[in-house]
Amino acid sequence: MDIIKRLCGLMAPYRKKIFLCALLQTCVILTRLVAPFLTRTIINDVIPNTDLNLLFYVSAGLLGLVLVRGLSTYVRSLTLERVSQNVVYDLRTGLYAHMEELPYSFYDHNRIGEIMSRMTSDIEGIRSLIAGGLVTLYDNALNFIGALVFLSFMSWKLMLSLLVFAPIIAIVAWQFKKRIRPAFVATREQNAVLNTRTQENLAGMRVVKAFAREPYESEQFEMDNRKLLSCHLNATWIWSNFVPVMELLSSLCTPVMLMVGAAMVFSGEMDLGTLIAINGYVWLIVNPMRNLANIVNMLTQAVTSAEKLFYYIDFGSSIREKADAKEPEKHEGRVEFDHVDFSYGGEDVLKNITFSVEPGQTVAVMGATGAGKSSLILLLGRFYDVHKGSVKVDGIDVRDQKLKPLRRSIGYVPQETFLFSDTLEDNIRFGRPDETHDRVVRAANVAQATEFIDHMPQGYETIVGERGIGLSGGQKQRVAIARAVLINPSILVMDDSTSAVDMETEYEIQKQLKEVLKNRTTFIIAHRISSVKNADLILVLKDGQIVERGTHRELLKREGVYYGMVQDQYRDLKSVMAKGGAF
Amino acid sequence: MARMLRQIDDEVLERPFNKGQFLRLLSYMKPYRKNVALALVLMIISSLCSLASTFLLSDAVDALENHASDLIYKYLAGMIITAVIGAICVRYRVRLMDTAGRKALATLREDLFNHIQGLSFSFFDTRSAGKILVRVINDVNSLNDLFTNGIVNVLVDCLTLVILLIIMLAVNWQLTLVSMCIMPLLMLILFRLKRVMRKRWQRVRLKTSSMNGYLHESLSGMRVTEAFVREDENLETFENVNDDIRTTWMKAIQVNNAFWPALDLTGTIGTVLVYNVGIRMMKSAAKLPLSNLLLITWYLGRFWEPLNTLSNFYNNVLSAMASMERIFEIMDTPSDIQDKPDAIDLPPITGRVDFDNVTFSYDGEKTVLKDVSFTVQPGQTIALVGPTGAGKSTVVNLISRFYDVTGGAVLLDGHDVRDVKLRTLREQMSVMMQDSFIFSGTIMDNIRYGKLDATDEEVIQAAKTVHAHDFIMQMEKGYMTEVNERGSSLSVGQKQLISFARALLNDPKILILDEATSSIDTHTEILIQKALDELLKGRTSFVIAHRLSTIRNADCIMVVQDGHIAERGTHDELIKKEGGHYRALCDAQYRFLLEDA
Repeated sequence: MDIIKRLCGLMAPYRKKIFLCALLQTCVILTRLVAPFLTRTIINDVIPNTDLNLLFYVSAGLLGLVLVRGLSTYVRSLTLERVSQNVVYDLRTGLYAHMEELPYSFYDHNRIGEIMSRMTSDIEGIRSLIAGGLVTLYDNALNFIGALVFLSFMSWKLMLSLLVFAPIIAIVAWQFKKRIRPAFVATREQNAVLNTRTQENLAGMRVVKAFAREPYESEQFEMDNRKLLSCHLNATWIWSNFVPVMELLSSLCTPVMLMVGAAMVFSGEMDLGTLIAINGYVWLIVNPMRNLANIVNMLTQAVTSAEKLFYYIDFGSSIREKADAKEPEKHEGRVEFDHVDFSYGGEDVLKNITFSVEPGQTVAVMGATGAGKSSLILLLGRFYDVHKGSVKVDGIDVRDQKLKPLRRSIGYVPQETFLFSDTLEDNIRFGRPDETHDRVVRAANVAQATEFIDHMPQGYETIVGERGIGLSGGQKQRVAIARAVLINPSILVMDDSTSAVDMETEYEIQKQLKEVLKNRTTFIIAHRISSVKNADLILVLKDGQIVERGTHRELLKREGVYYGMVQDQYRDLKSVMAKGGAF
Repeated sequence: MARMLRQIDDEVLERPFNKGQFLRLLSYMKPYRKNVALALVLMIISSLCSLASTFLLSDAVDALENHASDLIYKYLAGMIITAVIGAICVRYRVRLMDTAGRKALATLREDLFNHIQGLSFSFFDTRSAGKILVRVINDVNSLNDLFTNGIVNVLVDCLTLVILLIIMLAVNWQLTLVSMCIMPLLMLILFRLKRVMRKRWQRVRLKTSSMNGYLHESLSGMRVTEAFVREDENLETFENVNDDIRTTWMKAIQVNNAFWPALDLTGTIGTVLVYNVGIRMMKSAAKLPLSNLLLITWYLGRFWEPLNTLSNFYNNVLSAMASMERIFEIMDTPSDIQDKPDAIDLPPITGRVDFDNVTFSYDGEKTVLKDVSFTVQPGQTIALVGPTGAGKSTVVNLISRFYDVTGGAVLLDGHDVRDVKLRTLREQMSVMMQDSFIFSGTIMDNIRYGKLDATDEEVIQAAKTVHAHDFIMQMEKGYMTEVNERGSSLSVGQKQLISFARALLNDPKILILDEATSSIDTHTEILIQKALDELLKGRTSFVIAHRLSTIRNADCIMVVQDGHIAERGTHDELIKKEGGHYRALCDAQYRFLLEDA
């Protein structure tokens, strides 16, 4: 009930228009109900007397009715379509805006495909309810009742004989819906299975080929494809068992009615014109019965769709800006972690993390896969909230800050590079859509991306991403770095973002970054010692805790975990030291 | 802002009729021609039944008028019989046609999929997975209507029209001609109005698909959007797209919803005409009976339906042509990498690899490798180093014959890779690439992909070797944890470890690691290497990596630069070469250490 109330709430702003539509549709139904009367007049009055005068009026009447009907239908449908489009627009853009506020954790747990189908097919369900469903419901109900009333004026006996058919047709239609629905659901699900299978096969084609698994893939595909085929055929069988029966029942209405009617005509109880006019009412009674199951079905589906939609709409963002959120006077990149605990999905990810960074310093975070490095830096932009303790940026707890200015001050290069299907230029410009081309080139230059971009046939206008040309891992990472550099952040965060870039290029990038981002704070997650060596503070994480901290030199002296890492990577450390290296 | 959407509107929705392609499509129906023929017969019968039923109704009116009570019950019984026969025909017609159409479609889809499996890397390099997917799924699905209903319906409808006209003319040709006055109007609505409708709906479809594309992408990239505070701009773009949809939708509806009222009006005009002329004729010398008058009006009401199907069919064919073209385009793309007819099975190899003056170019213009020659003895580990884009990946891709050389030859144990069956070649090697790919399914299934008949123990052993076991066991469901490519809880490093286990399970004679460990921490990597040292005894391996620690122990290091091998030798040999590339590369690494912050 609540759902229905909320659904009505969506339409509330347009209630005047909806009321108008109901009025117009009533006109349409009346014209339909009146038309058989005119047929009767022709047969009973015009033909026997060749009353051409009356024929003229009846003809005019018929044409007038059809004009009224056509116009009313047209205006009604346009109005309702407009209403439904407006509701869809409100719903979809509202939901999208809501999605933009949801935190990372939402996207960790919800599949894109899932959200997509909410925002497309479920919204479509609501659209068709408004644009078509409501009218069908109203129309069928009024047609049925109206036809019964009109018919009972003409002959209540015939009305009763038709009424015998009505429930039978309704029951058959109902049974049909009940049987065919699972078959349709199964088909849809199997379609999705096949879809996923194909998509994965294509996306993982390189792996498929590397392992020469083409026959296996074909076999799997064939299996799913055959399953889909049998789902389809199963639905066909159910359809072919029911629909002809339903059609048969509906088309039997006319001869049966005539049989009863004929007897009445012969006995003089009824005239021929009335009988033929009644024939015009048969469909007005039969059709609503046939549609009954469809209508119920559509209503329940719209309610389910709405339910799913409202679930997302009600999904509160756990990360919300406080009403009295502040903005630091100056974004300079001071960061403090104060006894931070962070857990995710019931598991402790970070424990008791404390450190502070002065503006302009570089912090390197090291540690094994899954040690909590990425989580740590995601707390900076408040993509997740801490469990205990606090993270302060520029002296203010991030939970007390305005989110957007906070995030604008952070240039984030994620571990997995996502580029949009757009030009390289616009991808680099992503965080500052109004930036000039010169600035874009300069950012690309810092990221050492100019060389490969210039080599592309369309340069900065090359379209990349899912629907564009594919870039190598290293190229993507450099574009992502340029994107972060362009926003001129006070804190730059690089999450293992040069892993696919060769050493020399990385060296160049770091050199450039140092110049461009003078006095900016930098966080680096990396595995290579070369990437972290010059950091002002190196944090070594293990199982969510800081096990070592200090500069490169200090940590080497400790001969602890970090020292071990250096040894692993530079096994001829000693010889380097002999050459006078800085140890 | 609108830029984000421009490249999406490029799919062609319609194509002019192409007889060759149409016949080719029809050939998929050939195995089912008996079904189709039978269905055709059934359809004709049911169509005749339905015409007869109306005819009987008019006779019944006649009988009513003349109070012929015995006749009327015969007519009504006839109507019931025709209804029953019609229903039976429909039932079997649907079964026959659907079976034929769906089966033909399934075959088409399988052919397409299998063909795609055979295509080489160069095909996938230039097309996104999404675009190919649309062809296998949507384009094939869109042919369904044509297959199951379209063609047969059109034949039957044409026939129905002819029969209809003949009966009408036979009943009363003058009145029939009068009723035909509405034909031009009807045609105008059915063909002209439909055409405009089609165009407008196409625009709606385009807009909707670009909305879907935008939505999908912006949801996938939502993390980036939030990180870069692009929410407002994106919302604006999204609002614009939705506004576009609303506008195009209303434009389509304006025409679309005029269709039925226009048809209604035309029908009524026809009826009124027939009444006016017919009633006058009833009183004239011709003595037109009432039943004939009614029959003509009733039959007139049945004209538009077959005509409507015909106009729909025309529209269907045009859009099906576009789908067909896309499907056949893929099916006609030959695989540039195929087994020769006389290809032999590659016998179990020892792992010797020879490059004999290999030249290679992806596009026939830019040479990527020039005259590369080297020999790798069985069991050796070769490291390839060099700047991005120098051709390292290309070298290893040629060993697996993902591409064919432009000149020279690649030999495995003395067999040219082009002379052996691909399957037997690739089954003896494992390749791990830059981008590891995780299939949706359990971790167990993902590792087992390397060797489909591996036991659970073998899988776990492989995971242990690459030190993936620990993190897998930490997950709630261990090896049975469901994972997938996007949005899963695996980090890049973890994905690489799983791919690594997958590669090892295959028990390869040649192992190729193409930056396969870039996101694995050094400690784990070294543990893996130690385990590999054992495992790789007697196997040849190629390693591409940026980390010196990964490459220094190789038996031979090759520096690839500008498409040729600039240097080769062991670490110790190369490091001594003053002014050498490798030396410079190492220096670059050490420079970090040597330079003070």
